[in-house]
Amino acid sequence: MSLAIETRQLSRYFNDFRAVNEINLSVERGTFYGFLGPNGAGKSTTIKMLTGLLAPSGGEMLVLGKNVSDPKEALEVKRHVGVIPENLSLFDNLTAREFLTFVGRMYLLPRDTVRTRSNELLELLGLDNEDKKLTLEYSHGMKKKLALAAALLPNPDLLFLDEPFEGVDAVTSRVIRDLLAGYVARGSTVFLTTHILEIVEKLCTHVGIIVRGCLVEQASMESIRQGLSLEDRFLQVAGGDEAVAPKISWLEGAAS
Amino acid sequence: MNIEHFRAFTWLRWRIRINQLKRGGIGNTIVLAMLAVSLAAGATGALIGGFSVGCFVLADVSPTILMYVWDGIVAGFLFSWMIGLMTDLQRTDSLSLDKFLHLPVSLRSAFLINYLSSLAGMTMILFVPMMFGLSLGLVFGRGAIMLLMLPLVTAFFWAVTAVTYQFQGWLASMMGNPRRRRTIIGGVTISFVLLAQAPNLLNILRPWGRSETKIANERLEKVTKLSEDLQAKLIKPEEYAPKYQQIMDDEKANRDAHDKQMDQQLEVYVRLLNMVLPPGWLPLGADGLAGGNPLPTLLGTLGFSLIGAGSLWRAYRTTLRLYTGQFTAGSVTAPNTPAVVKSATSAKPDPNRVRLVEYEISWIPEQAAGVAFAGFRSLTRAPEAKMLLVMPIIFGVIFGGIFIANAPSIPPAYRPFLAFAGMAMMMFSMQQLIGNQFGYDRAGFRAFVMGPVPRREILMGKNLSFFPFAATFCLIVLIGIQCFLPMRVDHLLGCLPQVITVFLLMCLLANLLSIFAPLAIAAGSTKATNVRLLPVLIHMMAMMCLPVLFLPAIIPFIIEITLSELGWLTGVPLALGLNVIVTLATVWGYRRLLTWQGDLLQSREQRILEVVTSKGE
Repeated sequence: MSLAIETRQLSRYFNDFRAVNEINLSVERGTFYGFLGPNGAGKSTTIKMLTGLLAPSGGEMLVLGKNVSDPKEALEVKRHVGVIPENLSLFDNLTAREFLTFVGRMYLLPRDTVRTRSNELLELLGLDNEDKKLTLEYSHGMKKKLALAAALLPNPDLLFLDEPFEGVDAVTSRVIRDLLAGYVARGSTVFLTTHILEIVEKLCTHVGIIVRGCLVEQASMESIRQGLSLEDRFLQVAGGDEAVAPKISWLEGAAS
Repeated sequence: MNIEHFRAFTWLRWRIRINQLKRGGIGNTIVLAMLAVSLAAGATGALIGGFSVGCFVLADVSPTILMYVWDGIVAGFLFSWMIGLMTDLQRTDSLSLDKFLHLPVSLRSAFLINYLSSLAGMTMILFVPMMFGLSLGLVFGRGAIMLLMLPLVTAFFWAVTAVTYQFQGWLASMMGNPRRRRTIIGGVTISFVLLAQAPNLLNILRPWGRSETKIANERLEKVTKLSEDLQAKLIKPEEYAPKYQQIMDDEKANRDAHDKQMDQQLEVYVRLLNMVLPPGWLPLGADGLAGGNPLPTLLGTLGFSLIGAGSLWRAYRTTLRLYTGQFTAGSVTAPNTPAVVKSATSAKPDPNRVRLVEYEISWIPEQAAGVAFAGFRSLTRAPEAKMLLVMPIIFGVIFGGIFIANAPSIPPAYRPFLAFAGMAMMMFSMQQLIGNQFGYDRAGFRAFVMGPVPRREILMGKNLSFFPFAATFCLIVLIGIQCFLPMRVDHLLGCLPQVITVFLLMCLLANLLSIFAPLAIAAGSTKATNVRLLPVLIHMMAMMCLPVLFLPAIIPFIIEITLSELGWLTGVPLALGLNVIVTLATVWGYRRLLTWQGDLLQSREQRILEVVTSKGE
């Protein structure tokens, strides 16, 4: 099976700090890949590099078989990729429908296709009644939903989702999960970061765990779990089970 | 107020400032240190200068003159204060109270720190020492009674700063609604600009100049009549000189009487204004003390103190209401009211309606057209864009009015230069917006970086989104000039392609500025955040280069006039044809250079993204 994402010794330094340290990712096409790690482990930095939002300090990146560090190949790759970045990418002064139209035009989709897909996505995500609202008036959850709609609009082969479930209500979360499951079932690839391990356990076929910039585990869900729950296994790999909370006497004694 | 909390807030403010300086880099710190030293030197100079003027220059002047001097200082202070206020329209508290509301701390301490922080500005640093220096100088120059100026000046500063703080707090509370926020920012900015331009408008109307003109016309009529009488031999040549002298003497007497009357009128108006408008209580107090009457000063001090205390109390109440959510709580609506039903059904959009962002432009690539219309839509809605785009109109009216009022005798052949200057000024005033195209996109710029659009098309679309504004402003200038100082038809037609030339030249420079010197802009304002020195210097240099950049657009008119003056070619509309050629050449050059600029954008887009999405503390 060919790889949707492949990195070799991919690194990113911020001055002396190694945010991502020579990681070798292998994400096969048609997989639902969960990229896990504690806060500040380098998940978002990796996604930013893979989607062209941040230049790597070293190493190679192949997305859908093309080198995204090469400007010409990067544009070709972006035609087949949808992204929800960490801090979203919305224009404050456009409505949801206008923003989706703009995105559709950027991907050179026919006008009718943009309209049909926009209507379906907005209805599915419950944004179809907000036609007059500008995105600056949206709540954080609504912005996430709109970003997801924009990422799905071009019907990409690969989706990068950085914390897509953060701030999204339970009903929409279920809708998104079903949508993504169907999307992967037809052969597309999802690269997802989230802190909600239950979602990863339910959806992902493969998992990578990054700790302090290093990729410490990368395998199929079954291989990773080794008979444990994903949470136990994650804590084991990330070192969470070793950390014993120091005793704080004044917190454990009688309240003052 | 808890003194420990106050000390903690003071330390916090200081620590944040130090950390900001460290993050700004060594170059930034050096420049800021140099600025601080310059300001300290300026403040010392203002103190000494104010003292010297008060002690030596104003020691013996009349109370009225002293009042005028204080009026001038107060007007200067308010003008400078207002400019500072415009750049930071909505109050940006240095310590956001919502970070402390859950803590058992005194909110009054944080409020007080925020109020005191709001005072630190260039205007205060220069005007406070100057006004106190002047007051002290007056004590030495005119006597101990002038000591009462010190509390009056203190109360004046207290009142102005407290009212300003209250006003900014009120604006912040009103801006809770993002849509209303846009209207308020735009409205207040335009009001400030118009207010600041009031002296210019007064200068255009010159109501005081009419009497002077009348006197001069009377003299001209008499001298003409005298000359005609001499030519008609109604008077003898030896009678001419004394009669002429008599006319001149009469005119001088008339002028003196007129000036005296004007002075008296002016004094009446100024005193009335000083009484009615609170800032005038300061000059009125100085006038009273110089005349030996301390009552206006005492009343002024009391009035200022009450205004200051009242405003600060109101500001505190507004702040509390803002942070406790009373402004955004809204009214409670009963469930299942018709309004609820209406909102659920009436918001359904018409899927067949063609939206502006769906339009296409002939000969323009699809993606560029998409960027252009989305950009144009954003510009028509963004408050910061509205603020910046209204400036060319206001400045065009003000400066254009002044120029046309004072220079009506430009020969028709040279009037295209005036049109060119007007168009250049329009572009100049748009540079802040076009020269930082991606700064105003903020997070939206990520969509360009992540998207599959050739960067050349992004630049073309961005540039095109500004064209309707630029073209409208230039056409307004041309129509204005044609109404007041008509140009030849062929010259007027020649100016039309010139609009495209100057716009494209401007865009080429603006693209480079946007690529190499992007600035992060706070949402809803025109104020740059996390400012670094180099990009600001680059923008300033670019502004200075603009006149040179626009030179190709005026060359056709220079050639035509030169040939005409030399007598080699007259009566031929040469400039019209040349202008078309220059415009076509510019379009060709623009398209070629845009590919290169697109590559530049792609190579620097990640660094631009880092800047434009950075947030100020």
